Amino acid sequence: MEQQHHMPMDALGDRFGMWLFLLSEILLFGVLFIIYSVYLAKNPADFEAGSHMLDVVFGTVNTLILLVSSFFVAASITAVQRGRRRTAMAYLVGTIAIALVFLVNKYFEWGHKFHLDIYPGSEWLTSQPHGMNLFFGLYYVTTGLHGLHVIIGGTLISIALYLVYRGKITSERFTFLENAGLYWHLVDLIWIFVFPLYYLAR
Amino acid sequence: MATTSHSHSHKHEGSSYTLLAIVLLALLMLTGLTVWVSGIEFSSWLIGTWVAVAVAAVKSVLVLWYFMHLKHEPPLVRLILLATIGIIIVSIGLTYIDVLYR
Repeated sequence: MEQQHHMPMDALGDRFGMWLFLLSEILLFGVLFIIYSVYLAKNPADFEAGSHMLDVVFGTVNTLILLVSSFFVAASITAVQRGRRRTAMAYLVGTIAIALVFLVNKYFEWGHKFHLDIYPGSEWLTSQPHGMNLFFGLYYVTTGLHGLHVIIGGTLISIALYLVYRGKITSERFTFLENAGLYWHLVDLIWIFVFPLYYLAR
Repeated sequence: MATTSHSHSHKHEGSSYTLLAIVLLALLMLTGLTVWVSGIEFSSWLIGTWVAVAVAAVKSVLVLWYFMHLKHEPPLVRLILLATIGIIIVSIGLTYIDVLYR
């Protein structure tokens, strides 16, 4: 391998490592979807009833803004490749802003549910049919785990923003940004499936 | 200037903003389609679910191909991704065969 720099760079290797990690994440959420699919098949009516209790507006807005944030991240990489540091930073700031909006939405959405006594172990929910409990158990675990990934992804993007600002990420060397971007896109991908399966199962 | 990666060089101008914007537009429209389709009364819940998953799959392909640059990645990356998705689909299928016919 050519070594024209102080340290050998293997951008493909770095990215490949990230892809491997993403595959493990896909398997992680995949398991949750496998469980969902089985319980959906055994409790279709309860799952439909549970889905009706989720707020489609919140779900749709969250879906749309995550898609826009993915666009922002992809655009920031293009900007870096073209040496447009300020443009790249602006796109990354936009991504972080959307991550925060998503989390705030989640806060209000869950808060409202808690207020209505709809959470695992609540008096109302435990009085409901078994399928309803399964639906909401899966809902909270899946969207909770997803929310955790939003926080992690947002942190990675923030670090990338800082590195772009400091000139550590350049058109010659931007693998960190690409990898942070890949992680963020994964967050978007998971939600693309969560949205119809939970909010639109009606 | 020589590149340091043999198989693929990122020393190109990157995906054009226009292309990315078009992909975003398609994704937003497919989201609208997803919501619209969910309002349709199918003969069974199973069909509705399949349609929703199919639309989600199309959206995923767009995100993977254009936003995640799978278009520019070597075939090995695409292969391991497909293998993973295959594992999940097979897992769902085998689980169904077990659970639904007990």
